Amino acid sequence: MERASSSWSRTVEIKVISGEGLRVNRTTPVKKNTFVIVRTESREGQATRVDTEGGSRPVWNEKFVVDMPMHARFVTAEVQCKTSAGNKAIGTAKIPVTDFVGGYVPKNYLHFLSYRLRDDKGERNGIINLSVKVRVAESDGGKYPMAGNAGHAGNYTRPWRAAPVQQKVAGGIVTGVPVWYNNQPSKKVRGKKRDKSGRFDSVRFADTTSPDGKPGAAAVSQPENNVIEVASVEEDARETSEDAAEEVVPVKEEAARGGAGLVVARLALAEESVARAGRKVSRQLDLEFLRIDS
Amino acid sequence: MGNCCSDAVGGRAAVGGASSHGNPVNGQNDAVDLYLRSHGYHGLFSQIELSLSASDLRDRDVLSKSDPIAVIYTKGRDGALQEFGRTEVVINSLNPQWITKHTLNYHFEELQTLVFRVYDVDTQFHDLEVKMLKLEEQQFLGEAICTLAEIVTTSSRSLTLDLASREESTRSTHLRKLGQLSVHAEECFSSKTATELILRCSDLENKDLFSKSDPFLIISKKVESGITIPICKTEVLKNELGPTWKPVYLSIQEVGSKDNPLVIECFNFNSNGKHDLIGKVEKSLSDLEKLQSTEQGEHLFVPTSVGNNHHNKVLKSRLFVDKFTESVQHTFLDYIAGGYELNFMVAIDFTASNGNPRLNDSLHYIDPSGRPNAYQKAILEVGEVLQFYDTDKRFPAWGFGARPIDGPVSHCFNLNGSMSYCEVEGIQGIMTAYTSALFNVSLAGPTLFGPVINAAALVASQSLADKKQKYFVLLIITDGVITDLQETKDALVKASDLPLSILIVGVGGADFKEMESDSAVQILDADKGERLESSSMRVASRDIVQFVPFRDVQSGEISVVQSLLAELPTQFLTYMRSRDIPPNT
Repeated sequence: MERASSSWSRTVEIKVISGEGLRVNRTTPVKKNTFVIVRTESREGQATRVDTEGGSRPVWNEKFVVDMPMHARFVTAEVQCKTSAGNKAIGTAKIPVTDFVGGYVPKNYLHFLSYRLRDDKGERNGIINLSVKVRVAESDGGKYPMAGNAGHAGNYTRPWRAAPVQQKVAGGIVTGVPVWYNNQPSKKVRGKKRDKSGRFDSVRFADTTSPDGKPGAAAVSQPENNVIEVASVEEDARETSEDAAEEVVPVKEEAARGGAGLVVARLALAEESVARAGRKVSRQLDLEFLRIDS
Repeated sequence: MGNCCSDAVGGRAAVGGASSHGNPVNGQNDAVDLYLRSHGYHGLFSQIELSLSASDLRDRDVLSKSDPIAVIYTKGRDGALQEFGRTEVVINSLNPQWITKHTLNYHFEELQTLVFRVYDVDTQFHDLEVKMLKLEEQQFLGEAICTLAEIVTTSSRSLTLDLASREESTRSTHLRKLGQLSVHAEECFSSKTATELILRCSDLENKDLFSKSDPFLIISKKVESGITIPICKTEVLKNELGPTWKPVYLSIQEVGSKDNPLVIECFNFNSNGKHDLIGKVEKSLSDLEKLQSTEQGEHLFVPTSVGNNHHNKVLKSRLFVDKFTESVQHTFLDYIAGGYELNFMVAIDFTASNGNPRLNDSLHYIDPSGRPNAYQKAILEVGEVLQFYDTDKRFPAWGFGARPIDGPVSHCFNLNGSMSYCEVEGIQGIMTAYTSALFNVSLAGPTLFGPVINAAALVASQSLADKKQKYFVLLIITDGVITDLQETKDALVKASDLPLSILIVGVGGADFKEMESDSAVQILDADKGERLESSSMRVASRDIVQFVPFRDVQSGEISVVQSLLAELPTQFLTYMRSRDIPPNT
C-alpha cells in the first residue's frame, strides 16, 4: 500500500459483454445501434462501439481499462441508442465496487456480473452482462486477499468455521436486523462504539449478519486485540444478561397489554443478549416467546 | 397471428451450430455416462438425437403464414407430461424444418412416450427467447404422440405422424387435417472436435426487385436414408452480393463425420417465408478444409429439371472458405480426469414444516425398524451418485431451521455438533451426523436458505483464494417450503460468480405443484430462462440452481442419476469456459 499509484486508485479491466431485452419506451424492442458508456467517478466515460446487428440483444465484447479512485463506490454502465434524433438513453446500471472487490476470492479474480438496467423513469429495462477484473501488480498478487475488504461485510467476513451455532441469526420468527438497530439498548451499544477502546466495535462486526459494516470498520481492529475484546465483552454480556433477564418481566407485561410488534421485537433483543450468556434463561424465554407468538 | 409486414426479428438470426458459449455440452451428458458405465449399465442406453420437421400445417395467421415452434414432452410413469425441449421459431412457414436438435437417452427396457406439440408464435413474441415463451399465449396447431422405440425401429429412422387437435389425439380418427409432423432420430456419437468456419460468397445472383439479395446459408447433413437435416443457419445479411457471414461453428458430433457430405444452400431472405434458393454446393468438412487451404472457390449450382432429366446448372457465384480451424471442446470428464476436484456439501432442512420427528408421519421420523425416512433415503440415493465424483469424500454438512439445545434458532449449524469443523466422512458420516442432530435440536423455523448458501459460497471463495482447483456443489435437501425467497435470491446471485452449483432436492410426498407459486424453491431454478435478480438489481451471471423433486425412487435407477446430474456438467463447463480455464493434461 506504499506505492502512490495503488493507494489512490486501482486499475480495473471492465469488459462490456452484451445486453438482453433492451426496449425503447418500455414497449418496443430496440432495433439496433446501441452502445454503452462506462463511467467511474469522473463525468466523462468510455464508450463502446455501436452494435448494429444484435437488435435488443446486442453484443459488444469490448474491454476498457480504467483507473478507479479508491473512494469510488460505483461504476455506472449506461446503455444508449443512437438514433437520427440524437442519442437516447435506454437504461443505466450501477455496479457497486464491493461486487468485485473484497471477500475471500483472489484480488484479481475474473468476475462475471450482470445487472438489471433502469431507464430514466426508474423502470426495469433489460439486462447488461459484464466481466470485471481488478489488476494486481505481480508483487502483491493475492498476497492480501482480505485487503479492501471494507464495505463487503455481512456474508463473507465471518470466518465460516465459526458461523454455525454461535452465528447470530436472531431468534425465531419475528426478529430481523432493522428491529435490532432501531432499538434503544442497541443504540447504546452503537454509542460505545465510538469509545476510544473500540471494544464493541469488533464485537458488533463479528456478530452482525447485516451487510451494514461501514467501510473501514473491519480494518480498524487488530486481530490480537480481538481475542481480548471478545473475552471482555463476554464478561460484559454476562452482566447484561442479568439485566436482560430482569428486563424480560416488564416486557412480558407489556405484551399482555397488547403492544404486539414492538414487544416481540424487544423480546427478541432480550433473548439475544441472554442467549449469549445464560442458557437457562434463554430457554425459558423461548417458551415465553412461543406463547406470546401464538 | 402475426402480420405480413413483420420485421421478422427472429427470422433473421443465426440458428444452430456448436456455438462456443451457448450450449456447452450439446445435450450429451458425460457425467451420467461415466456413472452408469462404472455401475455396469454399459450399453443399456444410447443417446438419440431428434430432428423435427412438419408439413401442411394449418395457417392461423390472417395475412401471412403461421410461425411454428415445436415443443417436445416426455410422458412420466404417472402419465404427467414434462417439457423436454423447444425448437426455434420458423417464420412464415407451413412446412418448417426446425434446426434445433434434442438429445435424449434411449432406454431399451423402458417405454418412452414422446408428445410433440406445434404452436404458432405471435409476432409480438418473436423477440423473446423461445424458452421464455408462454405456450398458453400461443395458438395451438396440433399434437402428435409416439414412443421413441417406434421412431428408432423404422428403417429410415424417421416417423411421420398426423397432427391432431388435443381432444382428438387419443382417438385414431381425425376430423380435420392439421398437417403432419416428421421425427427423425439418429444415434449420437461423441466427438470433442469442433470446427470454426468463415464462409463467403461472391457474385451472387440478384433476386430482389428493388434492392440486392439478402443472403443467408443453411447447412444440412445428408443421412443414410437420403434425406437432409438442417444443422445450422447463418444470419441474414442485407443487400449483399458478396457476403461474408459470421463464423459458423460445427461440431463433428452434429455433422457425423468429417467426410459426411454437407449441403450448403444459399437463400435470398424474404420476410414472407418464401426464401429463394440462390445456389448450393455439396461438400464434406474435409472438402471445405481443402477449399480453404487452396483458397479456391467452389461454384454454386442450381438443380433444374427439364422433364425427367435432372441437370445442375452451374452458376458464376462461388463459395469460399476464409477460415477453417478445428478445436477440441473440453468435456466435463476432461476436467475431472485432469485433476479438477468436485466437492460436495450438504445442508438439511430441520424446519418444523417437516413434522414432529417423534410422530411417524414426519419426514424426519426415525423408524425403529430401520426403514429410512424421506431424508435418509434422499441422502443415500443422492449421495451415492454425487460422491462418485468427489475424491476425498469429506463433506461439509450443515443443518438449518432448528434450535440447538443451547441457543436460538440457527439457520446454519454443523450437522456433526462440532463447534469448530463441519466436515463429515462419507455418506455414512452424513447419516450418523443427521440422526444425532435430530436428537439434539428442536425443529423450528422459518426456512431460510440464505445462510447455508452463504456458508457454501464462503467455502468456495476460500478455496479460490488458496488457488485450489475445485468446484463445489451444495446439496440442499428440503421439504420445499421457503420463506426467505428474496434473501435466497440475493445469496444465489452473489454465488453465481463462484465455482459453485446448488442442487435442491425436494423430499416428501408434498405437492410440488404448489411449488409453482412464488414462495417455492422451483422458482430458483432458472430453467425457464427467467434470470434470478437480487434486491440490489444484480442478476445471476449464470444458472447455478437445479431443482429435483425426489419422490419414491428406486435405487440406482437411471432416471434418478440423470435428473441429478442433468445440469451439473453444463453449469461446470459454463464456469470453466467463460473463464478460459483449461483442464490439466
